[in-house]
Amino acid sequence: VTDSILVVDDDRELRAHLNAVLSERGYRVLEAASAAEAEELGREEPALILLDLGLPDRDGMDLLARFRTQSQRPIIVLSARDGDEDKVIALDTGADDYLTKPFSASELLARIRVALRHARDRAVPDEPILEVGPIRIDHERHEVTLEGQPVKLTPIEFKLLVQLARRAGKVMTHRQLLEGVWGAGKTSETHYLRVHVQALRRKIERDPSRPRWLVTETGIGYRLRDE
Amino acid sequence: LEWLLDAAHDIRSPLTVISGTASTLQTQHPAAHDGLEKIVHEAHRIGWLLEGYVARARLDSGVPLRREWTTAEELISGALARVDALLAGRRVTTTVEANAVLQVDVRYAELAIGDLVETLGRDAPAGMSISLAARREPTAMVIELRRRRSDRGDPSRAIPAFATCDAIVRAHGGRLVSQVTEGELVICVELPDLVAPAVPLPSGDS
Repeated sequence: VTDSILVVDDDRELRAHLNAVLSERGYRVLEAASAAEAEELGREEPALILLDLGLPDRDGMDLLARFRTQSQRPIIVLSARDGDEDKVIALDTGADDYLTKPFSASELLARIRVALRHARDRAVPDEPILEVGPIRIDHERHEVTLEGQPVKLTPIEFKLLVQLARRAGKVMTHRQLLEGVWGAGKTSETHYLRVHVQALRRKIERDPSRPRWLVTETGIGYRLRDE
Repeated sequence: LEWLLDAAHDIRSPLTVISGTASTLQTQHPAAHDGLEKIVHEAHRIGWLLEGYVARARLDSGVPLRREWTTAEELISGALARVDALLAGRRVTTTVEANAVLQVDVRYAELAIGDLVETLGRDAPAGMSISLAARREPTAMVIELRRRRSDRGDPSRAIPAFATCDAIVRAHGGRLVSQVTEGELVICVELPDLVAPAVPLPSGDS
């Protein structure tokens, strides 16, 4: 079955470009230039939505919230705005991922693959074994290996790695990670996270100052790459 | 500032189309690969330059810094990730003191370090490497970049301008010091040392 993707952006040339890129990869593309058109085309139940936040007739954030109340289909936010605040708000209120313009076609396609895969896996119960690149996590036995070699993690590092691995390929905001690891009371303590991420990188990365797997999304959070 | 923010916002969509179209054509027209590669690279550089202009305009307008504690390693890895595509294969070797923390506006500080690395890389012949070190000194966090000189002329003309980095470092109360020796360029960012918060260390999880 061909997945359909709804592209919501008021820039005609950008829509045409994205249409060409996505059609070539076999996706069926629906184009909307405004929030009103997006709502109309949203009824066709696309598999994924690419949503620009700067729309002419309504704030893209409102549209995101509306789509999220209607379904759990993945939404990737496209942003040309300066600053991180709108991306963090979008992610914390239900967007699955974001791309900052200008972005490459390969970045876009990678994000789409990950989002669609997670959407398909949503129905499957959590696997006891998680594998991301060279990292293998046995959740029940609390064991982690890197390229087959055991890695000794502290309880917090283990919880952090599991959080990231369960959403491998997708960005997780500081708040989501802090809440997942330390609980709701610590959601503004980003320095906790930074110190423990550094420690985790020293155990799972060949060169922690040039991480291959656990990458920083500046001002937003972290992503455990899976490809 | 508003004018510049609007301009930056409006330019980002066409930039996506330019670099995306050139990337697509690269696979279809191998003979034009190098020229198209240049278009992709320069579009990326325009995006990077825009970020620098916006940051400088924000600082000039008095937009306050959003300081946070971070580790030197995190800051440097973020900065290098942002300029990786602009370095065209030039190597950066890093030496970062373990557990060094600093209080900066991370978004700006990454731009500052990225500006130094990108500028030094742009002037360097392919294959030349840049070394980057971060260490604590008694009253400052020092981030030092070194690269062999690629020119043979007047040493006073060998130091490129680092306008974005300079503006960001000054806004943080620090200073940028450039030196040129017979064979090397040395650029130092000195940021005032502040007392770090108590963070439960990873070894003390329990």
